[in-house]
Amino acid sequence: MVFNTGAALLDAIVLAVVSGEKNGTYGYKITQDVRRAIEVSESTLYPVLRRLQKDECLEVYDMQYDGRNRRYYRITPRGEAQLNLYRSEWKKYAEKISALFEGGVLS
Amino acid sequence: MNRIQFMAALEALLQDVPEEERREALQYYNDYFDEAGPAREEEIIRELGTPGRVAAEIKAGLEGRAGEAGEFRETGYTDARFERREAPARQGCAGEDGGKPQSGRGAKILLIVLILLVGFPIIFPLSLAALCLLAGLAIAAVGVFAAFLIAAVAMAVCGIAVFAVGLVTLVADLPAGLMVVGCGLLLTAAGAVFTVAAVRLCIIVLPGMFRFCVELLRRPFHRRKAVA
Repeated sequence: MVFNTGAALLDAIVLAVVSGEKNGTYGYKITQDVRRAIEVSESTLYPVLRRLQKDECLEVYDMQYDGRNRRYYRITPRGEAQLNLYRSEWKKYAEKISALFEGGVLS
Repeated sequence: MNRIQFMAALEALLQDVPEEERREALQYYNDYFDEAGPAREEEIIRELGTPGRVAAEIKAGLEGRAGEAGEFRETGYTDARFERREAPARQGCAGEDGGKPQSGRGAKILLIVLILLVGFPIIFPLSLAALCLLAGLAIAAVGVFAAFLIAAVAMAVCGIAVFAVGLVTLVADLPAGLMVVGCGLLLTAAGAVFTVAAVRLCIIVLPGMFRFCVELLRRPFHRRKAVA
């Protein structure tokens, strides 16, 4: 991709992906889902998930799956609030940039 | 390197992070390999790069959160992460050259440094001269317009002075006094008209000049961005 994804946008994308799964989702799946939108390496998301967890935007719980433990991530109310903030900010940002690209407001 | 070796190396590299963080990270990557299954194991290890890179990313994540809560701005921390993030993508593209992602970037940086070093003695004085020339012209132009304005104001002030002299003369010599008063009034009126004209001129010309200068200065940077 030509454009860099900043930390805030990456947080927003991860929160959006996790919020889409009401019963929570796990690291591998989150990575694959995020990858459908942007290029991230397999190692990019761990620090992001860990930080969001520490900031109480995400919570984790363990559940048995296929005879082993699987760690699930679920969005918290605080995470929802943060995601809503990101959504509205993104809407504003995207509209402005699109207007600029298509209309050439400056000049 | 297989999964077991990768995890062992990662664990060794995470010895200096707190116990809990180490356990979390190791569990995450262990789970990750489990979820991906043996079929993707090799691919994932290749994409993760070295255990050193993964460890550095984990540590950067731990340091990055100091004092921030829920708000992550474009800081140095972000940049470091994305430089690291881009590395594996390049490795994937240039698979045939043995996968040395850092060498291309390093050569590019070296080249830029060399260009700067060689070009600096020429480019710097030249651009400084151009800048000085531009500044000189701008100041000269501002001076010319300021001179217009000052001359006009001075004319009006002189007119008032002459008018005052005329009033004094009026007492001694009525016709001469009247003439001097008339001259003073004419001079004042002309001065006022010129002042207004000069102010108008400045309002029209100076911002235009300023905009022109800014545009001129901005152009080389824009072009450079477009090339990059």
